[in-house]
Amino acid sequence: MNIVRNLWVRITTRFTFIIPFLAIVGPGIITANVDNDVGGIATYSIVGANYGYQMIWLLVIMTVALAVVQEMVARMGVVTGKGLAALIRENFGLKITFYAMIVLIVANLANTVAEFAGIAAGGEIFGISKYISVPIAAFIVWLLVILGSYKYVEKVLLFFCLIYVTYIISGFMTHPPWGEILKETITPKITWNSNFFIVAVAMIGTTIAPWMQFFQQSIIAEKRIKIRDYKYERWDTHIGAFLTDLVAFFIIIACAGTLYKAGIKVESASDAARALTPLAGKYAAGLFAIGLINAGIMASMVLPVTTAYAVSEGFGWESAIGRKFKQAPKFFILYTLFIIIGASTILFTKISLIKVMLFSQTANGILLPVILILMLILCNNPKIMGKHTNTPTFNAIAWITVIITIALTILLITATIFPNLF
Amino acid sequence: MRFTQYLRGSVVINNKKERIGIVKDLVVNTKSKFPRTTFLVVHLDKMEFIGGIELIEPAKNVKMLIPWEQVGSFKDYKDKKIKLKVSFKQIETRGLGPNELVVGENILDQQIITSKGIGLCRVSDVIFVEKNNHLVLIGLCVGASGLIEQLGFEWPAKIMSKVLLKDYKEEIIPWNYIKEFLPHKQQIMLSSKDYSKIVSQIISDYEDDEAIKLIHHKKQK
Repeated sequence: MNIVRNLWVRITTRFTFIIPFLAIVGPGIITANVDNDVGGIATYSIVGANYGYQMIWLLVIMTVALAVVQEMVARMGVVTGKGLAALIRENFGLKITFYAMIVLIVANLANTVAEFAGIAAGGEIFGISKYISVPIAAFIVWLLVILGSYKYVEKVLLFFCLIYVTYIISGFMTHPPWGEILKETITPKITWNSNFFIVAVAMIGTTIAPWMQFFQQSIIAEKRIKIRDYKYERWDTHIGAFLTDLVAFFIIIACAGTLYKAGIKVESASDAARALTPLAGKYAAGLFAIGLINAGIMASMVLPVTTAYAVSEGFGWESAIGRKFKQAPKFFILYTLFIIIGASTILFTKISLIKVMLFSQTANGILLPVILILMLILCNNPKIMGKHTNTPTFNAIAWITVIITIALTILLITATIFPNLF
Repeated sequence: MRFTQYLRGSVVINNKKERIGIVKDLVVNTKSKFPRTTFLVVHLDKMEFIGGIELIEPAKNVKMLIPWEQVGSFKDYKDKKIKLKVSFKQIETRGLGPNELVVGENILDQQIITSKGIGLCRVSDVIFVEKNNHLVLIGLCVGASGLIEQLGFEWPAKIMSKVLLKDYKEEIIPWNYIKEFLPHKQQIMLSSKDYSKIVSQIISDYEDDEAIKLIHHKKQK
């Protein structure tokens, strides 16, 4: 009888956790998954195709770093009920906010262009012209935010997150050697050449990007998550960090098990999807391409929304997906402009995608150190965070994470601007 | 006069014309219809006395509240100089009262919301006028001009306005339209839900001031 009672208590205890968790879940998982955008998928494809399983161990470190950074913004969002841009303006003044916003706009615009390029490339794998796929995708993402409430948009984005499972399936379809993969995951291996370091740094750079901090904190503020529910949001953030790198893990596996073994080098995610067809079958390649289109659609919605949130918060304008156009006109105009510019650039110009991505990588790299340091200062300010400031242990981990991320980002920018230096 | 342009960063000199520090902030008392300054927040070059008692070693990086009664004149405010009536040793400071707000901390950069809670803009500058040897806060600058001045973009803005034949907007919310301060949210609530009607209105009590002339000018246009 006792056993049954204990079991019942255990089940109900779990149940009482799961229900509120399901109500809170969203900001952390969505933000982390959008991180696997077109640029991210390209980077992981290149890592798998060029280095096999050799760099998988880095994912473990990246997951921890991502969880640490995003947990801080989640906590700030819950405690203050404000977005990161609003906190920066209120605590550091106009100048810092203004320049941070300029760089964020430039980086996010370049990223948005890259996302629409991913949608175009993914569509072309299935024989759909970019003149059909891009306008349709742009219209759908625009309509979702303009007409939808926050809850509706969140549900749609969570559904899109599920589509990332296509990468996990295509990873399994390549019949990976699990023993070898496990060994590579737990034994760090470094190749002492400049290319290895640049790819490793690019991998970290694509995982922790400034838009993520702005986006997650803003949607937490819009969702009005209370401090009493913070533990669920922390779980949401940590699970998100784990899932995003799990997807990255399977992208690397899919490319390492096929392209690397066949000695095929790729430069983009669509190259990888095409190259997978003869090696892993048309279904694996098709799933890979579906994942790419999905990533493009998600990010082409989230990046303009992030920009609209950040700029509106910085200048004090009303900013919320849940508001009507009349109540937050500047927010929705910014969002619309971003989508129009992003989609039109892909449709009507012959811009080099690689140059766009390098440009966005540099802009992100310039902004990230500033944002991370401001975040740490804010997170340690008891006037803002009350008793929820960083603990000394967490601070030590956070500062180490931030310093390493900053150092690697500087290395990445240097390698991007001066490619012949290393 | 604008807070960020003329007051913040001004040099504070004592009655013997010796520099003692720079103005970091101002404190105003919000009890009256238009808030009056009650303190200068001064970042001291060095602190040699506390309550008239000399310190063994001067303290550095200290901020001090100097009561407004001890401020002599600020007629040289355009040269960014504020003169005290007393020597440093004679300064008698005290704590902030319940209705007192620190301008840079509690007003500047805060979000302005309508009476219905809709975000409108942020305070880009704070406008004071001189009256009976006090500074009186008359309005909050929320337009492009405050932003341009704070960012130091005056000359590019002038060129742009000449090229585009368009003047950049000067928008001021008169203080008497402020309903409530929400310090925990760092927001300032207006008494109206229609923002466009209250911006750039005349505050008749202080018509002779340059800021008011500006508002008049705007209205005549």
